[in-house]
Amino acid sequence: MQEVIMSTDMTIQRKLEILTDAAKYDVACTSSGVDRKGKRGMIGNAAACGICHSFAADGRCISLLKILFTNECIFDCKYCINRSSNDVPRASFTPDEVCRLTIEFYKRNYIEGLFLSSGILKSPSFTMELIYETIRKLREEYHFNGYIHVKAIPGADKDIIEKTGFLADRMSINLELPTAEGLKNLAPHKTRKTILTPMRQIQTGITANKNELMLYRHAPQFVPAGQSTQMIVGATPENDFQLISVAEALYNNYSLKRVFYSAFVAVNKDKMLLDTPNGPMLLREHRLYQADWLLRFYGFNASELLNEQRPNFNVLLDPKADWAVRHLEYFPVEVNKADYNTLLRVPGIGVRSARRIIAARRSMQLGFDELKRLGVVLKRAAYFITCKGKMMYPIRIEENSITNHLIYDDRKKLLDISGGNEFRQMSLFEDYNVNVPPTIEEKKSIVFGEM
Amino acid sequence: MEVMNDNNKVVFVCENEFVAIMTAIYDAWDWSIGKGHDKVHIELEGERNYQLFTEYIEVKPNEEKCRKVVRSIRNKISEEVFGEVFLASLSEKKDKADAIYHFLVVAFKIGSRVLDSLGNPCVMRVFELVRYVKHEAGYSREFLRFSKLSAGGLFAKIKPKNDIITLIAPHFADRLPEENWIIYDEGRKIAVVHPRGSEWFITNDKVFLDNIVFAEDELEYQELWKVFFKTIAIKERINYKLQRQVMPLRYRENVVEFK
Ligand code: SF4
Repeated sequence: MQEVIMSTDMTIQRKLEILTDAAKYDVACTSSGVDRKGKRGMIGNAAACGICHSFAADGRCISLLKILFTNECIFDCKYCINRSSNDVPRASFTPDEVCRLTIEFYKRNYIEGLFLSSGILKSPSFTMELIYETIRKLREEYHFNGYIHVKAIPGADKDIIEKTGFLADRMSINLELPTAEGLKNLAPHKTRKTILTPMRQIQTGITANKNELMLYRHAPQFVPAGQSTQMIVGATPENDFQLISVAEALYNNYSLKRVFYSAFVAVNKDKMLLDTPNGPMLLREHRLYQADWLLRFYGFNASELLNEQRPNFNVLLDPKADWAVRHLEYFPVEVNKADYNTLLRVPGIGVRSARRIIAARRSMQLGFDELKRLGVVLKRAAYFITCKGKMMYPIRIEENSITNHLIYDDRKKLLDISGGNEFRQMSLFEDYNVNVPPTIEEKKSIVFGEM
Repeated sequence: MEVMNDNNKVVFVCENEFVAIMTAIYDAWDWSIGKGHDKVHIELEGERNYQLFTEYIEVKPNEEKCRKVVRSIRNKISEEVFGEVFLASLSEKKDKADAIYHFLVVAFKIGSRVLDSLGNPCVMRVFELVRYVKHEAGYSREFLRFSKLSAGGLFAKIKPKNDIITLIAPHFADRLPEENWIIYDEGRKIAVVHPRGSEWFITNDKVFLDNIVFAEDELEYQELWKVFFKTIAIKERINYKLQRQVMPLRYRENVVEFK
C-alpha cells in the first residue's frame, strides 16, 4: 500500500496542500439532496439533510473532501488563483490517490464524500475524462457509495458529462458572474453558452431520468442530488438585484438545487477587478444567502425584495425585515388568525415556528409567552404582530424607528459574521442614524397617547 | 390525619435506566388512581433532596410493568409519542422521568394530539429534552472520529452528556457494513461493537480497551487530514468566533483536527 502513495516525486501531503489551497474558493461544500442506504460490499451512504464534519478556521462547514484534480490550467480567468498567467506551484493527483484519500478519510468519519473540481488540462474534454475516470474508479473499484459532487467543465464533450452524471450525486457548473458582459471581461475563455449548455443538458438528463425511474425502479440514477452553481460577489459592478434575479431564473428555468454566492477574495491584481479594500464582502454575501433563502422557502420574488430604483440590500438589515419595514401596510398581523404564508413573512417567525403556531393554536389562543416557547424571536416579531389583538409593547409603527430598533438589536450578530472589519468601516451610528432603543420615557410618552 | 394525607406528595424513586423509569411510571400511575396525578412525582436515584410531607417509594425495575407501559403508549396513543418518550428517557436531565410521566398524563387524556399541545409546559419540557438528545446525537454523527487499528478495525471514543450511543450506532452500521468497528462511550463505560457483515451490539465488557494498537498509517492519515483542514480555510475570512459558535469547544475533545 505505502509505495503507491508516493506516485511522483512530490509527496501526497504536498499535493494535497496545493490542490486544497487551489480548491478552497469554491464555496459549495454541502453533501445534501440525496438519501441512499448503505449496501453490503460497499462503503458509505448518503443523508439528504447533509452532514457537516468539521468547521474550518473561517467558520465554513467541511462536509466533503474538496480538492482539484489538477491546478494546471490553460484558461486565464482573471479572478482565479490558478489562471495560466499566474506563477504558482502546480500539482496533479492520480485517480488512485484521490480514491485512497477519499476512502481513508471517509472511514475515519472526517468527510461525507468527495467534491472534485479541476483546472483545465489540455482541453475541457480531456479534463472531464480524467474526472470521470477518477470517480468511476472510486465507485467501481473502491466500492464507494458515499456522496460525490463533481464539476462539469464548460465546453466538455456531451457524452463524457452524461456518463459522469450517472456516477455523481451532484454536478455543478459555476456561472461565475451574473451578466454575460462580466463573464466576457473576467473569463475570456468561457462564455455564457459554454456554461449554460451543460447546465441545460444536466437538467434535461435529470428530468428524463426521473421519468425512467418511475418506469424502472432500478434504473441507474442521474445526478440524484441535483445541480448547483456559484456566482462571485464583489469582483464586478453588478448589483444585488441582478444577482438574485439571475438566481431566481436559475431556480425556475434550470431547476437548480442551490445557487452559492462567493464573496470575492482578491487573489490577483487586475484592472478589470474591483477593489475590495475592506476584504471580502462578507455581510453582502450573507444578505444574498438570506435573500436566496427567501426565494426558495418563503415564497418571495426577487422583484419584491429589490428593484431598479433600490438595487442593493441594506447590509445592516436582513432582507426579510427590510421588506417588512417597507411594507408596514401589511402589519401588524394577528398570530391567532393569520394564515401560514402571512406568518412566514413576519420577521422573527421562521418556517418551523410558523408551522408550530398553526399546530398549537388549534388547541389554544396564543399569547406572547407561548410564542416565545414556540421559537418565535419576539425581539424581531414584536413590531409586526398582535396576540389576541394586543401588541407586545406600544410601538410607533413607522419605518425609520422600527428599522433603527432592528438594526440596533442585530449589531452584535453582524459583527460576528463580518469578523469586525467590514462592519466597523461603516461607522454605523453616524451613517445609518441608528438610535438607542426606546427609553422608559419614550415608552411612557407612547402610552400617554403621543403616537 | 386524613387532611394531612391529602396534601402529602408521593415521590417514586427509580434508577436512571429505561426499564426502571417505565416501571416507576406504572407504579405512579397505579398509585394516583382516585387521587389524581398532581401529587405524584418521579425522581431518579441519587437526586433526592428530602422534603417535608413527602413519602418516598423505591421502585424495583420490572420488565413486565415496563412492557405494559410501552404497549399502552404504542397502542393507545401512537408510535410517534412512544418515540418521543424513548428519546426523552436518554436525556441527561434529572427531571426527565417526572417530565415523561406528566407528559403521558396529558397524552393518555388527549391522544397523539399531545404532539401539537406546544403551549403545555409538561409537553414542552419533554420536547426540550428530546431536542437536546437529538442535537447531541447529531453532533456525534458529525464529530465522531475513528482511528484505524493495526488489525484493520476502527475505533472511536465519545463522551456525550446524553445516552446517545444506541442512536448513532445504526447510522454507522449502515454506512460501514464491511468494517469491524467499536464506538466507546467513555463516560458510561459502554461500547457498541460492530463485527463486519453482521449486527451491532452493546456491551460493557472493556477487554478490547487493553488491545488498542493503532495501524501503521494511522498517524499519516491524521496528518493528511490536518493539512487539509488547515488549508481549506480562507485566510481573508478567518473568524474564530464564528468557528466556536458552529463547533463549540466541548465537542472538540476527541476530534483529530483540533488536537
Ligand atoms: S478555468 Fe478559470 S476558474 Fe477554472 S481553474 Fe482555470 S482559470 Fe481558474
